[in-house]
Amino acid sequence: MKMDGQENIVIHVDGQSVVAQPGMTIVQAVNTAPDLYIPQICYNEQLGPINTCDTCMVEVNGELVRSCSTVITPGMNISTQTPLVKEAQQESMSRILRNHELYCTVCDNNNGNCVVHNTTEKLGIEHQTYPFRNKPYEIDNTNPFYRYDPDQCILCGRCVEACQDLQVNETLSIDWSREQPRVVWDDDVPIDQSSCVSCGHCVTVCPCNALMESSMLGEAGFMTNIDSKLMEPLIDLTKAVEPGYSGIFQISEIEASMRNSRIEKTKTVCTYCGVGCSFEVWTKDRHILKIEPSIDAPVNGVSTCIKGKWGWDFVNSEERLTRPLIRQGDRFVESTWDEALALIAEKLGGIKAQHGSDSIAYIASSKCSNEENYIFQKFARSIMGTNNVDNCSRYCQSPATSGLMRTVGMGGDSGTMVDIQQSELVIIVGANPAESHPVLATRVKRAHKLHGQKLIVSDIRKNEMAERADLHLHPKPGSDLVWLSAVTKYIIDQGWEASSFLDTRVEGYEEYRESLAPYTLDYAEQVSGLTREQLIRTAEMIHESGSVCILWAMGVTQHRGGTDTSTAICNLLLATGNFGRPGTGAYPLRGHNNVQGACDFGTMPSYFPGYEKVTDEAVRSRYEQAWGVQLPAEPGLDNHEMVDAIEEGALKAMYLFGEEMAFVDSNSNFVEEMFGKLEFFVVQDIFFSRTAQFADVVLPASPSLEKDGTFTNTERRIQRFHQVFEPMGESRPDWRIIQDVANALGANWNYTHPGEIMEEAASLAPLFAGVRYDRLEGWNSQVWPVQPDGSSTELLYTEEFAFPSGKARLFPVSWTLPYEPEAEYDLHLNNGRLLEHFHEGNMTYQSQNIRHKVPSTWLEVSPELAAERGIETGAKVRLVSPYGQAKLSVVVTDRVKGKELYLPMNTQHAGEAINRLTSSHTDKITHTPSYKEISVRMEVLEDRGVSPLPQVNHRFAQRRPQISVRVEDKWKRQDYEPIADTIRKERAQYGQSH
Amino acid sequence: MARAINRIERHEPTEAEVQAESLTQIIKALSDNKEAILKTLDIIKELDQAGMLDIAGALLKNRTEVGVHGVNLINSLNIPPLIRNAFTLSQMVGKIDPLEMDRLLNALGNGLSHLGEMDPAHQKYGDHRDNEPPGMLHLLKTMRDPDVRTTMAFGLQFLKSMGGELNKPKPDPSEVFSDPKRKESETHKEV
Repeated sequence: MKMDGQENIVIHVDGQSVVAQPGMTIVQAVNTAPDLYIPQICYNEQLGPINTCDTCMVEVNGELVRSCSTVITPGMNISTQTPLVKEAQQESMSRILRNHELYCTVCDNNNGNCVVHNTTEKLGIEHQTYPFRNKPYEIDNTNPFYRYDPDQCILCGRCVEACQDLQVNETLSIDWSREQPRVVWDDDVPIDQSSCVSCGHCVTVCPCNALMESSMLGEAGFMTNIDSKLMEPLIDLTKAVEPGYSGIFQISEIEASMRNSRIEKTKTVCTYCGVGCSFEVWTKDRHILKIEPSIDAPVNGVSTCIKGKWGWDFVNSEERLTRPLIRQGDRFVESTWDEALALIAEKLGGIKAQHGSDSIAYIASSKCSNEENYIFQKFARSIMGTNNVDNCSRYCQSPATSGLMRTVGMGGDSGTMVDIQQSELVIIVGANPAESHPVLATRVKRAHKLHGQKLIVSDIRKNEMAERADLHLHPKPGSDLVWLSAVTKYIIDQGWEASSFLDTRVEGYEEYRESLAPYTLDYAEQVSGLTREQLIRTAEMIHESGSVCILWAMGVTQHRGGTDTSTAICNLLLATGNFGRPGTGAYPLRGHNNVQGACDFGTMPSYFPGYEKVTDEAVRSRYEQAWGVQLPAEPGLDNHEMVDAIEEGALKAMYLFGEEMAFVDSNSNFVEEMFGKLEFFVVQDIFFSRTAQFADVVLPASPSLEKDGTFTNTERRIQRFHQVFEPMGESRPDWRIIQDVANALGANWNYTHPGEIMEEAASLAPLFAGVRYDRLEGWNSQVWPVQPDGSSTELLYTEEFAFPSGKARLFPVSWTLPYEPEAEYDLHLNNGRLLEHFHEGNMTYQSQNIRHKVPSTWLEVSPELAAERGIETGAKVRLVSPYGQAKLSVVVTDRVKGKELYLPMNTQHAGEAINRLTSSHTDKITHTPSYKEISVRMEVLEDRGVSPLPQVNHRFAQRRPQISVRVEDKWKRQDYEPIADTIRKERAQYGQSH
Repeated sequence: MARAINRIERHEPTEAEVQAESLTQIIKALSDNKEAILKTLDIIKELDQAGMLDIAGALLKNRTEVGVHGVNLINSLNIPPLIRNAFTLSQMVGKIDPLEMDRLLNALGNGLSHLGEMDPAHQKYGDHRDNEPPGMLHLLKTMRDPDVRTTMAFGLQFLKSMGGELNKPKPDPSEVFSDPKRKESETHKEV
């Protein structure tokens, strides 16, 4: 809220001076003063003013005004306690309570944070002026995640605001035209059949119990699961005898305080993507009551997506591994930890002694914590003596990191979500944040809908972001580098480049400019299939915007030229001066919750934690001194090279944790064959994964809710998560297992808490110098580079770039022709993610409710192709590539065009898996598999059948966009009377003058 | 050389093992709390002998039906107004100044303590002794007594204040009953 360059102003509230920033509303200013209070039911800081509830009325110059939407002026005199204000509060609360029955003691929302309850109590409302009356609508229980009770709905519109303008899914509205208004979904359809994506925003912001998580109902309170046969008469009886609300509130307060002793509220960080949402988990024993986001969460505030809000059932799954397993013949047999650890020590120790340190490789997890990755690379390097350690960023964002390292010097996003939000132009290339990074996408959608942000999307699929874009580019697959370079060349040719920025902050301009010579508009038109007009329009939009952010993901990186295209993106941003200022920069969107952190904390074959090279003598000696060992000086094998090394016979054993490599590595048939050749394989996971089937020892690990630690999100933000449950069965947190394995091999480590591991990492890696657990308490977070005093660096490169000269480097790149298929493979197979599921789905498919929405993956086929092949939605087809085949159910949709198919990767069935079809081709620089370069042929097995996607999926429904809740329609109603008018009439009746 | 296998031989604890484990935990808890347990058993024994456990068991097992009947009974006995009146009375009594109350009750007590001197059945009327109760003249004479006049002044003051309250308009039900269902709604604003 800080507005630079503007002086603060002073206002007077009930005689007290309050210093505030210009542009603030009264309620914002007053909320900064702890001893002042203005009731505010529909107002929420993140949602802004909605103007429906009228509880925030204050007196300014003798008149009542809404404090939520009245902007302060210097010297403004505000009264919050006059008789007029009190009468207004009584009137507005009475209007609210007419729509809401106060049965707090037996309400599952009575947890001390009910806005309606707290406001009624705080205002000392004893009786209501208008009687409560039921509305003529049934409770909507159709959506399995949450329910809407119209009888309790106060029509404040918070849910609508959140849906329309924060999540921007545009499903909810209030139908003000009915005799008795209510919230409606789409065109007034049952919730389950609407366009609702079950993100949970509406439920989170509801100020009462009208929208509730189904998991709370009958569970949260001590008396809330009483049979409704008895409940209703009891409520009536209570009402009949209560002397006033204050008395009854005392009872509900007692009940709410009793709940404190059995409902645990623990802060955690979501593990479903790289955005890094944090929230509280409310639990009763091992039952998850709900996920409760907080406005104070640094990344997401009150926002969540379907997975983060509801996808935690897997933690209590009966399929969890609870004891170590040892391969014995044709089966796995449960063992004790001592047996498993002894076997690992014997085998790994033996192979190391016989074949050398580099005959063993280590795969770390982008789903596990920073501390776990740190201790794992320490184990590989210091105890096992090898740099053969890598993580799954190799499968996704290594090319992006590499492109950033070439040009600007740091392998992370240039800024934070704040920058993306405030940018004048956002360009998304080969990414679908609406499904893969849902909460980040909401910020772009909101800025685009409300604040004039422009949006260009380059994607071969018309995904949600493409639908919303001002300009949707549909280039030929794999041609992004060409059109990006052509646009850059056009900008330079027009003289629109940022000359002074290039002069003072960038090296290599001349050479770079010359390298662009081949990228004429003609050439780009021919290669990318985009039109000259589209290319020029893109250049113009960049030129016309004061700030540009480019977001990209696997559509760019998973190609043979992935690093080069990432570099071309950075070049374009450098040429136009879009680095180092608020609202600018390069944003590779990290897929997993801790891809960033796994790389940051050194599970990479050539880097120590903090991106310091293992080949750097000085760095190595720092670690050697700290760890008291000699360390290998040569970079190790990356994931891809490891698999090749197995084939060559050089790699004998592997230790892998929290990674489904058999499924997510490309050309999985080959990878599985290689796993079969390993002499010894240790797999550590929370479930018996497909990879575990090849293991000799399987170790049971604990998920994030059963341990402590930190994750680093795509913004480089380090956030702390806390243990919610005890580890299930004999499972253990990964850091503890890694320490146990290390100790079995003679390490003699004694970490008792992840905080100690972080302390060690911070003392060794300058990038994290000031990271400490006590600085990460509550909702606090730190964005690296973190200075020794603990201060963060939200925006990179404001002064200089991360090279010795302090200048950025323009890096000429040339286009790599994508893999050319043989003619029989006539269809291009794009692939990616689904909103509802995570990765191969071992966690999200455990949720019955998510399965209700999306039971399996499917193949998207364009209407043109479907017509040509004579198939309909529900058809069964076999896709065949040179590397394997998959059998899939079809959904016909215009999200894909012509001969381009789309297959979500989220399946648990090997026969449907995309990686049965992918090749072993990789990015030239980083060895990231080129998952996006697949061509297949399609064999029709059945031309019609049951749709793999049920009708209750949001993709079939029609959104209802509008701005906010349309409160003007409420004000236009015959029966609406402004609060001030009502009071004036009442006063006239009682002979008082206004 | 490992081919993919997915057969897991899990050791499912037998019923006997689960029971043994539970028993160990229970016995430990019992021995840790020996005194409290023995006292509790004693109480339970008495409750059982008194038939209370049977009653409690039946009530709990049928709690929903019993609850509904209970609420019906409360309503049919007109208990809600009784409870409300009790609340109102207690609020009224709560408003009285304890010092005033003390004085008034002292005075009342003093008045009562001298009532023993009155016994119309035996023609005793205080210091007036006759076959008849005191005549009007005598009563008027008594009123000259300052103590009697003080009491009458108090009474008149009380009557005046009470009348003042009664002359106010009849209260709106909403100020008496917070249960909104009980009162008539005259306007029908929906928003």
